Amino acid sequence: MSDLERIHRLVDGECSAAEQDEAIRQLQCCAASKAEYETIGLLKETVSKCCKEVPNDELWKSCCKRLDAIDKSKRAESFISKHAWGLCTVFAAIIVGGAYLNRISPGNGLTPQEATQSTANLSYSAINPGSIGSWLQEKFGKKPIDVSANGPLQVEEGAYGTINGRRVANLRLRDAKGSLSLILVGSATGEPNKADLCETQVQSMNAVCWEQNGMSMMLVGNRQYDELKAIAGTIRN
Amino acid sequence: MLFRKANPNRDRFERMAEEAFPAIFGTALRLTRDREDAQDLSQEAIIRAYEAFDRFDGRNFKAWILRILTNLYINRYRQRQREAPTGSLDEEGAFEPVAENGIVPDRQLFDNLMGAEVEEALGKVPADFRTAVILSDVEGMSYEEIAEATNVPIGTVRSRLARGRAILRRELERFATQEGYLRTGLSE
Repeated sequence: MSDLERIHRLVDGECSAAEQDEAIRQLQCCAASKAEYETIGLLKETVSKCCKEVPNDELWKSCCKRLDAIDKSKRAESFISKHAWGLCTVFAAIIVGGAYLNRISPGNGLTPQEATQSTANLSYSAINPGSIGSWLQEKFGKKPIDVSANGPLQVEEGAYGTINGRRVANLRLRDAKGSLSLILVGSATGEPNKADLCETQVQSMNAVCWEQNGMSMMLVGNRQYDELKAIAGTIRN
Repeated sequence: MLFRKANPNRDRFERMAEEAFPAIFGTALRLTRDREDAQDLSQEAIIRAYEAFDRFDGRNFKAWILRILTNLYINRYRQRQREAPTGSLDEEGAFEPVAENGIVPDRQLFDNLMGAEVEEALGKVPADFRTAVILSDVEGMSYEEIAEATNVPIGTVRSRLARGRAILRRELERFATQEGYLRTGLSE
């Protein structure tokens, strides 16, 4: 350690007891060291006395505002991290609930009346009874019903179209007692009784509805419900 | 804020920081020599300190926050200000006497100096040396605390301090000569 360094340390109070004794001995026997010690002390005292603290209340207030903003964001972060599982559960419940409501909401499907009305403006063309299977396959990509070419129920003509994004077809059938309509809708009609046959009325005629192969069906005719159900039974098989 | 939610940590920090703030801003002003930079630097130091308050050891808050301030100054503002490097003068052991020719300057001369004159002379000391002098002689920090604040070894702190004081003394002497307190220098 140099003498100069020791003097700075002595002025700054950074010497150990032993170093301090040695430094004081040095000051006593060396005038230059003593002058250095006193000058450093004088300078240190002057700087300390003249360089005062600088208050700035405005700046302090603006610091406090920033601290408030930090606290606010910390509180939000803490709330989210504390209740992350709860929040996730709530969101999951909202999604599941929404999906369920969407599924059961009647507004999303066609009612029997709407289905019947929607087919009214379609143009009909004759269908060869032997080719009904390929006609349905072409229109719906599957063959949802079985109407035998040689059975008691014959297909006379059919109409196909798209209503509100749903594929809809109306087949005009005939049996020994007269004509019937079979309306096929490419997705649920909104009727809750899925696979079961349910009775309804459209345009003052009896109708039975059911779902089959992911499609909704409605058989409409001027018949008793039991009779319609029996015919529906043959189509469903 | 009137309805701020009670936060003991924040209240404790605010009490300590408010008390130390005049020293923080004063140091920032002396380091940057620019009021706007000093405001930014002090504000940034307060934010950093608040975010790291859980790591404060509870001993000397002012020294702790001044360390943050000095670190910020060195890492950001110092680079931006692009002061000339201190070069070999910064090396350990580069000591030079503060007193010239072994003569103690007249105490009256130092007593005549005003705050603004000392501040001006201090501003002329190169940044690294000035930082050491400010932290030691204005803020009363120990060598160890200055070394931590400036990220240099203690030996470098000692040499910077000695060098800074020597330059400061010469600047004060020049000023005193210009003002007529001295004719040709302190040594005469």
